[in-house]
Amino acid sequence: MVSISRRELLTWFALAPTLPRFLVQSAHAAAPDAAGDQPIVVVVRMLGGNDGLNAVVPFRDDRYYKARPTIAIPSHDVVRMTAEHGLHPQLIDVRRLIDEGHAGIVQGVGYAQSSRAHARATEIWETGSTAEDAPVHGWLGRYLDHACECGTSPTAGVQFGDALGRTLSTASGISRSIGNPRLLLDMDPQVLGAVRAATPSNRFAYLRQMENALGDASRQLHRAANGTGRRFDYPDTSFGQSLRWAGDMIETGCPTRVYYVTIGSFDPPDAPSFDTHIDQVGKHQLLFSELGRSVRAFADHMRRAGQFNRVLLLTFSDFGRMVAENRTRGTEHGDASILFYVGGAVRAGLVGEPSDLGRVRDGALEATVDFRQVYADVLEHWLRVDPRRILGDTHNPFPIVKA
Amino acid sequence: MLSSAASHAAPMSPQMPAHSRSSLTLAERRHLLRRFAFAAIPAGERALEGLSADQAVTRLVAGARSAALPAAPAIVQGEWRNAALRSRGMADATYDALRAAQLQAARRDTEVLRQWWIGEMTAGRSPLRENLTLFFHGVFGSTTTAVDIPHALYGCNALLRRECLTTIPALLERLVLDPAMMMQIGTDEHRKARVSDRPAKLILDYWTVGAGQYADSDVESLSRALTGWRLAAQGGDAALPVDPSAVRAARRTGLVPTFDPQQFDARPKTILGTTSDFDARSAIRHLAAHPATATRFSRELIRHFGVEDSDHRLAGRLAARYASSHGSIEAMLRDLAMSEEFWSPSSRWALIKSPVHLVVGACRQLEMASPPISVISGWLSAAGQTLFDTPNTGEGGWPGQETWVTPPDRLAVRYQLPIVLAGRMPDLGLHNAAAPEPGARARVRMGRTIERQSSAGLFDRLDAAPGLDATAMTKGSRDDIIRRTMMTPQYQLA
Repeated sequence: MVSISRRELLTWFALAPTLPRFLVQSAHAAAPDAAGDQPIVVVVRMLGGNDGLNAVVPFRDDRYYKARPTIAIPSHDVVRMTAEHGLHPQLIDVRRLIDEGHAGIVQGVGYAQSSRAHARATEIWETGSTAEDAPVHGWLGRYLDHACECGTSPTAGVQFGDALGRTLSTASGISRSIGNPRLLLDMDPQVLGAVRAATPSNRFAYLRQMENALGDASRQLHRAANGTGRRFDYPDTSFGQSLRWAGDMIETGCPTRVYYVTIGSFDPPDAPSFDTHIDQVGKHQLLFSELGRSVRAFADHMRRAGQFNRVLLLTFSDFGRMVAENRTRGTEHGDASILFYVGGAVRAGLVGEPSDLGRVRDGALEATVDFRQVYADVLEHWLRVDPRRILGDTHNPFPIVKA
Repeated sequence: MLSSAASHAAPMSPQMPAHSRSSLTLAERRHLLRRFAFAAIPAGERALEGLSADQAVTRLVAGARSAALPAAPAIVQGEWRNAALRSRGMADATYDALRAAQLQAARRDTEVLRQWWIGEMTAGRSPLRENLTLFFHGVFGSTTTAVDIPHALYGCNALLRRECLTTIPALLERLVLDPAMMMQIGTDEHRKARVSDRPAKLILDYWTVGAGQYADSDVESLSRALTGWRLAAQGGDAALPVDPSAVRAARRTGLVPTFDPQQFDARPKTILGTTSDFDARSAIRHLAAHPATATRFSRELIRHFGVEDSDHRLAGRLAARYASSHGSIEAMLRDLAMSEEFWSPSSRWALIKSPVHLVVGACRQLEMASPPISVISGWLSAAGQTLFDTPNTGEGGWPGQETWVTPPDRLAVRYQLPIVLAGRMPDLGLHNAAAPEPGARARVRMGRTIERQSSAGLFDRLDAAPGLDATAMTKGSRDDIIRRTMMTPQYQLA
């Protein structure tokens, strides 16, 4: 009997994306990836600095309504969570996930002397360090480099977007950004990387390397195209579809260990982002609805695919915003905010101390939880590595993962 | 010296270097044309037949000088008037509406301008002139957010085209008072009282001597030398009702560089060791004469023309030529084309084509009479080269080479070229896409003489770097040949 290795089968499959499903499944079943039961992190960047105060609303606090006469969420619209706090109405899907025990929100998260400049604040969150000389590589990039044992897979980290951000930046080059999955799917694998003689030019060698990388990503996506993501209610937005691709890649056994997707955009300049200086209410309506629907679809998708217990989705944003609204029905850059997380094995609920509206620094909320405590928990209890190896300093883990 | 038989030596390893022989081989003429004229096409190859490298450059430059300048597109003819000028007491809402309409029109017209330029590059009479215009656009850069007036963008583009074969000092002196560049670097209202150092720093860093060549005091002195200029209406703008507290765009009455002695800092300045009563023009002339400026432009030319010069020996020789020829662009181009380095094996196929080079070259190879310019313009942005919008807020131009194909998706965008040439915009968005459907394969509308070529002839016209299996590549229809050849690393190189 001719034996066909799983690798060969998958290569065939990449060449013929319309291969019958049972064959594909048997290819995957033949020998699960080494990464098949490894934990996965999906990082969601909320671009621009999310206003935590209009996401988790202190609806009994008069100071909140006084500070925000035009943009406060009326108490009757709030999705109640506790006697004091409730969610933005467009976050109803997050509330449902919390009720099901599969999501949580860390309140009052940030760090001391928080930066209010986008670039610097993002650098701090992405590197997990407040040092003046921030590490070159990201906190999860360092994990991929030193601790994930993901070998030389060229797609250990995948970011959906035009350029690789700091979080996934690695020394070993095992992260990739994918600007447009559709483009990679359109690649004809028979053309891509066809056997050719080399051209005597350094630049040719580089091009060939990029073509190989393209081939790898393209093969992963051809495989992912057979995922069931399209059956779930992912919004038809860049963020929704990126998350859908991540879900399909997870479902179809891609070796990627960390995904990175972004919600909100600065391009074109009038695209909605969380940098809500002007007309915050309308932007939040759109973005929170997009976020809620997307993570809901992702959770349903992962649950149905039997992958939910190995997935942890975690958001971050540049900073929170000022307590008081500005003169353009928006808010200026502030300090502490909130952070969402979703997964099959998380500690659900509203966690952490909410920031005290009575204790503000230059008009913004102070942190009650250091974000590196959350990272430490993800590293120690989810990714199973010693957080000190990645973060350098010791941070007492703030538990978001189920014990 | 060897006998004249050397001219028949194999092109990749001539016993006698190309630059010192009496005539170039076909392969050498192609190398020269690929770098100087976007692509090697038969007419160009014939025109250089029997010429030496020196004579070939003379021929190309003469062609560029004698070709008629293209007529300005209709949208930028006539004097620019500010349709969103803010008069005293104008309501916010009124101004906001005027400004929004103005910006919308500017975006539309800038796109018309892009397509006009692409048309000139793909079908214009002098590819060398357009290539040099593109080169200088990349050196000086611009963004459509800083320069949101298509008249100004066109004016600068026309200036680069007109001056691209004069001298670097002459070009710099015109650029320092070019309306678009003034808006770009921020000298369009550079008053004595509120001197910003940014324009001076940009000129030192990106136009002339470069970082590390000057001290803070030079920045301050140059900054003062640049004062006194602003953009105003033809014949002054005193009669126009303008709110003096409005933002710059709302107060701009015209695009005529106007000198106001009251706003000029006339005190002496010391720039790079020379003390004088510098003004904008004399300061830039002084900087243009500096050896570090000569080195900058030498290296930029070497980079643009894809010459390997890792030990900077060629750059040193070009800088010396700059000094002896008062910055003559033609003299530097000639030295570059006659250098050992240009013809060395390590410089062959060592240039990753810019997206413009790639698509313009393809249109010229296929002699396309009416290339799908609007689709090409959209694709150029996806491939990372939006004309009039250079990266890093206009500072330092496009880095080129490897960055054109990094991350690898960029290469995927480039592999869409055959679809683009067929006039179809590839789906470049991130949307709910089903698995790709084969769909009707679009056809590239190539020129008649190309249509009559054999399969092997067509493959040869496409002029990819060596390494492709011609037999395998030339199977199937002409569109198959084009598609297969363009989707290779070899086709990305010049």
